[in-house]
Order: sequence, then structure tokens, then C-alpha cells
Amino acid sequence: MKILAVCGMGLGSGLLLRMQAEKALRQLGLKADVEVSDIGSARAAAQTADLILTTAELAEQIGQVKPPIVTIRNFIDLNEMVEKLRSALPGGQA
Amino acid sequence: MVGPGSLSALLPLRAIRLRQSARDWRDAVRRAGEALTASGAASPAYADEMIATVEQLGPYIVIAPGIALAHSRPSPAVLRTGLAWVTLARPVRFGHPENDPVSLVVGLAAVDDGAHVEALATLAELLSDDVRRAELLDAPDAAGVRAIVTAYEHATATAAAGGTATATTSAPAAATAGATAAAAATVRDTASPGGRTQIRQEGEVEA
Repeated sequence: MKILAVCGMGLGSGLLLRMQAEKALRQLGLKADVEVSDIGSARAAAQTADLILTTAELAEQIGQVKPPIVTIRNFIDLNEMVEKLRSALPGGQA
Repeated sequence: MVGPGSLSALLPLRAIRLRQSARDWRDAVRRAGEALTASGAASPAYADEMIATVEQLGPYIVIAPGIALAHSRPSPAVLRTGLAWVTLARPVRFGHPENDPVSLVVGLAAVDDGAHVEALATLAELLSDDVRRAELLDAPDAAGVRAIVTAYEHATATAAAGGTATATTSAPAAATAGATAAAAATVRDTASPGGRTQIRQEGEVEA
């Protein structure tokens, strides 16, 4: 399982997304690799990802890709991340 | 232990500016650029690069209600990794559909994709705690902001050394037992009705 955290530059908000996703995965008892990508390389990186995490407006810029895109509004709200990963990931409902 | 990549190491006094005036989002980002320049993390050109990032990619840097993480990529304008903390006298709109208006601009100058990870993680922990966020935003001066940061770092380092959970460890700055209880309560229940979070008020409501 690979999750791709996409932000503009690949080092600010995407990093926050990765940290929050890793915390949320631990809370859900799920295992996945979380990688950060900048918007420029997101479409290529999406080829090997199972899920994409990003913001609503960057999701529009990524466009149509194979894996589902989950958009996060509040990057410091762990609860939002947990709930969205819970419904998006197989095994997350358990 | 509190090391060279810690938040307190990367957020010196000179990079903290409170109740700054900004007439629009560009001005607000410029205040963050000035703070990064003052601390030696960036040259003045970096402010333009942070502004250009928003112009190109949109206001996605507004990462939470009221909070923008202004940054660009490593460039000759970045002199060393550093963070800036700028609160605004009057919130400004960045054009974000949900998280506007912004009253805190965190500036980030990064030399690579790794040196700021620890500091950013600490900052996210502090800001996601309603009580500590309120304390940080109400701090009377830059020294007050740093005192909360260093107290939190020491508390978490001590807790980690003792092998206990750090999530609800309260920094000494969170003076009262009531504040501690509120922190514990809000950590467990961060879902606010309708997903709306008032950046200043939630901690007070809980307390």
C-alpha cells in the first residue's frame, strides 16, 4: 500500500500531510508507505500509488489519475485525516 | 533532547513578529519574508519567491483555518533552514475557499527536504492542540512565544525519556489544571461541529 501526499513544492504542506497520515495509520492499525511529491511530479508518481492525499485545489490541478484522491482541508486536524483514511482505505472500516 | 533541528533552534526571537499590519495576503507573506531575513534564514528575494508560489499554485498554503504556511523551494535566496512566526493585527484573505481569513503566517525557508522536518512536526503538534494554539496566539511578545515552544520541547523530551505518552503532557506555560483537562478533552475530541474551527476561541470554550 502506497499513499502519495501531494503539495506544491513537496516540502511544506505535503510533509505535514505525510506526518498526519502516518499518525492516522497508526491509530487505525493500518500499514502503508507515505511518500511526498510536488505537484509537478504528482501525475507520474500517481502511477504506483494506491491513494493520493492533497488539498481540494491541488486535486483539480492533478486531474484524472488512477488512484482515488482524498482531499484534506485542515492539515493539523488529526481527526479529519483519521476519518477520511478510515473510509478510503480497505480495512479502515474495521 | 532538544537538538539543532528543533523548533526552538529554527525559530529564533528575531523570526517572531506579533500583531503585524498587512493590507493583503502578499503583504502578509512579505512580513514572513522580513522575519526570515531578520533571522538570517533568507535574503529579501525569498519573499517574492513565496508570493510567486501562491500566484502559481493558488492559496493551498492556507493549511488550516486561519493558518498559512508560506514557503517556496530551496533557492539561492534561502541562506539556511529556518522558520518565522508572524501574527497579523487584522486577518487577511488568501482566497482559500474554507480556511480564510488568515491571522497566523508561518514562514519556512528550507535548504532541502529534511532539515526542517522535526521543527515542522513540533509546530504541527503545538498548533493542533487547542489550548496551546490559543496560548501561542495570545502570547504578549516574541519571548512569550518562544517560552511556550521551549517548555513544550522540554516536556516532550522528558516524557520521551521517561517512556510515557506525550500527547497530553502539558507544558508549564499551560498553567492551570483546567487548561490541562481542556487539552486532554480537545485532543480526544477534535471534531468540531460542522468541521469549523475558530482559531482563537475553541480552547476558551473548552476551558
